[in-house]
Amino acid sequence: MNDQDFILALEEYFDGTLTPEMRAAFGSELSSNPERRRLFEEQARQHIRLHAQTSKIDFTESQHIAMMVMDIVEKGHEPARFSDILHDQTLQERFRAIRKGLRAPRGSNLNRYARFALLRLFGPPTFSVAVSTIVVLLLMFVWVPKIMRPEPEEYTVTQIDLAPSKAPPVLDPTPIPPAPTPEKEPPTITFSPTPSRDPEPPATPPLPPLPPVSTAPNAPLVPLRPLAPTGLPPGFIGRTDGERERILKETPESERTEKGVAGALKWLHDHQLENGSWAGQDPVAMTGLALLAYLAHGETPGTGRYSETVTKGLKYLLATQDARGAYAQNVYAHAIATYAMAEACTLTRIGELRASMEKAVQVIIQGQQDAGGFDYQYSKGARFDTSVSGWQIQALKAAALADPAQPSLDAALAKSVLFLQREAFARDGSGFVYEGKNGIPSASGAKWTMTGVGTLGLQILGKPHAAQARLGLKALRDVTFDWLPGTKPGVYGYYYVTQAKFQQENRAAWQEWNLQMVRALLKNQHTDGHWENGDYDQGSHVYTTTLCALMLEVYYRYLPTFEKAPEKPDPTGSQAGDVSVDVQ
Amino acid sequence: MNAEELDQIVLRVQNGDREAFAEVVFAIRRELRIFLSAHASSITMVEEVLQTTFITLYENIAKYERRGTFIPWAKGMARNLLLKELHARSRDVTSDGDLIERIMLRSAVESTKGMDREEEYAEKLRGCLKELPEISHRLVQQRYFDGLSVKAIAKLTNRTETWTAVALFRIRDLLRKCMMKEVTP
Repeated sequence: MNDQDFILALEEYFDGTLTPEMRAAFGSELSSNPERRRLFEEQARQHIRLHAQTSKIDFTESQHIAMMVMDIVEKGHEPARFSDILHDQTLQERFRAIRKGLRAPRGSNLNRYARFALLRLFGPPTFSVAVSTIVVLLLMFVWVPKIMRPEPEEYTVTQIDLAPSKAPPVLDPTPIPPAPTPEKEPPTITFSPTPSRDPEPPATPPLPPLPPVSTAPNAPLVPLRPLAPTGLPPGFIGRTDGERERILKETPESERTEKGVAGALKWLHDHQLENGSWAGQDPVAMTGLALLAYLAHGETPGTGRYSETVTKGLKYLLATQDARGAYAQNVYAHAIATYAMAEACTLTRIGELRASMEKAVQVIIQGQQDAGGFDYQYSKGARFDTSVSGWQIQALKAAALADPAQPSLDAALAKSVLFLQREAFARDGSGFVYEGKNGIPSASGAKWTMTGVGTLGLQILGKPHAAQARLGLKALRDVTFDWLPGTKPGVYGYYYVTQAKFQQENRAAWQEWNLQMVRALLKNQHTDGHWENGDYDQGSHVYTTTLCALMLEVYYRYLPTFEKAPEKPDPTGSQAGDVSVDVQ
Repeated sequence: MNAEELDQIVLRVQNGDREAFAEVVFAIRRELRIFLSAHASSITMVEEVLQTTFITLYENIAKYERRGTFIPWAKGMARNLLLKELHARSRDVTSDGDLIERIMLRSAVESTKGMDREEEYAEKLRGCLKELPEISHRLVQQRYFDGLSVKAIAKLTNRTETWTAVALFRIRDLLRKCMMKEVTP
């Protein structure tokens, strides 16, 4: 082994990426060469010291650790409860964790937790009867559906999961009944708001007091203010008429792109169902996406040509929300609807929308995993899903702009940053992975679609300069916007990549992408304004049309952070520092 | 935060304020981690013993007598837990076990003989880090603060993996020499 190979092997040992063969060779080198062994010991010691010396210490993570510690210490002395034992792990996962913990050194955290969990599973005889019941129920409700559901093929990883919709049949003109409350409430995370350690004032001015919420089904949704730049978060001001026109004047090909957007909004209007929803894989998700397309263009219940369309869509979402706050059982659909509701709330300040959004946001926060990510059914197991997480993160950030004072929102956003940086990012620096196990960083396996998700996520969470975001953009350099006739274009990924590239400071790279995007989108738009055949589109074309429209609205939908909004006198007292924390 | 202020937060924990324990964790985590890092055999061991220390701390926090000595008290616990862990693992690693792990464990056990000088070393390392040239400082930040692998740094900086690995090797060696030079009388 020459010097360079030795040094490279040393770093790979630190990274945990040594192959078994290399590890054996490295070990044998250390045992036969005392000088190299000395160097190894010195380097390893410094490596551990530097890790400790430079580790990030933030308060949110400290809160998380404190909660875990108190949980382990205190609950060990309390009578066990079903919800504690089952949590959201499958029994199989729990046994696996216990087995691993029992093998861990006695006294270690893992070992203590395993013994504690074991005691609670098989401790009191009366309790074991209950556990047996739970096991049977678990087999029925967790394993059986898994066995019956075929394993998805690789290409379906980002598909919007079509859980049985609780919404009525899309052609049913009757009023929408409220969705049934799920039998099992999701586990609750009690996360107190993070005390502000930042001397800066809040990024957005406090919202006006919540007006009384009307429960009448046909009550009008009346915006509390006209849509104007003042009082809006700076990232949103491109949605106002004057600002949008100003931005478009400076945008190449904008006349054509705006014609494309107008065609899409008209098509969506023509295809809205009587009950206010849009048809597709999941009416709630499709309605959320359609609303996002309208809201991006500054169409609200009080403004624009499509105010009635938007009002009907929002009312549909309000009607589908269950007592817990969920718009849908499907995690994608719920997040997309929350995202739309939050944007509508920011633009209009309508009390009903705000109340609905706040409940919806709590569902997302309660569904967040300890490591900051999300999974299907808001499962708290070890698996995370970056695609699912991407929509939750967009919804959380939009909610923070609508009302930054919501309980636990700061902590949830901070956890999301940690998730993207630590769990979802591939160790080889090639981008973000689709799925993984929390606490076990993926060595490789990045996908370009997920790299779009992760990069945009970090950008909107205020970390555009994080190494992972920069590496993400680098990995996206070679992605091209291809839409050849007769093919299924990857509009899901393009939606994210378009926004991530738009937010980057390298304008040449953005312009190059923009050129491809505009050319492909305008070429493939049908004369009636819709697009079709996007990946995961299942026939209604709403999915493809909304994502394509949102891409063509990118210029004014969220202003980038590096392009600060023009200074304007602000009677509402919003802070100059808003830009730095805004959604780009 | 000085020792008296920390004692006040500990008092809140002793009086049942659960939120206050997060403040305790926040206040002492960095110092405990640095303390453990000097003698653990791996980063994983640092993190595991750190977590076990917090559990032990919380279990015993009622016994702490507020005399402005909370951090030394916590470090004492961390020290005992680390020694226990090192000895337990040394026993577990048999002669046919992983050679690299055995080397690291032996080195770690050996290092515990100089535990009393740890604060001095940590202080010196902080000073040495500040003296690094900009490019080296950035590499350290990417490797440790951002937690990037060598592969990822090489991609980010348009260098080869070998260049990155060699640069990191030299930086660590430079820091070690700087630290020892400063500490050794």
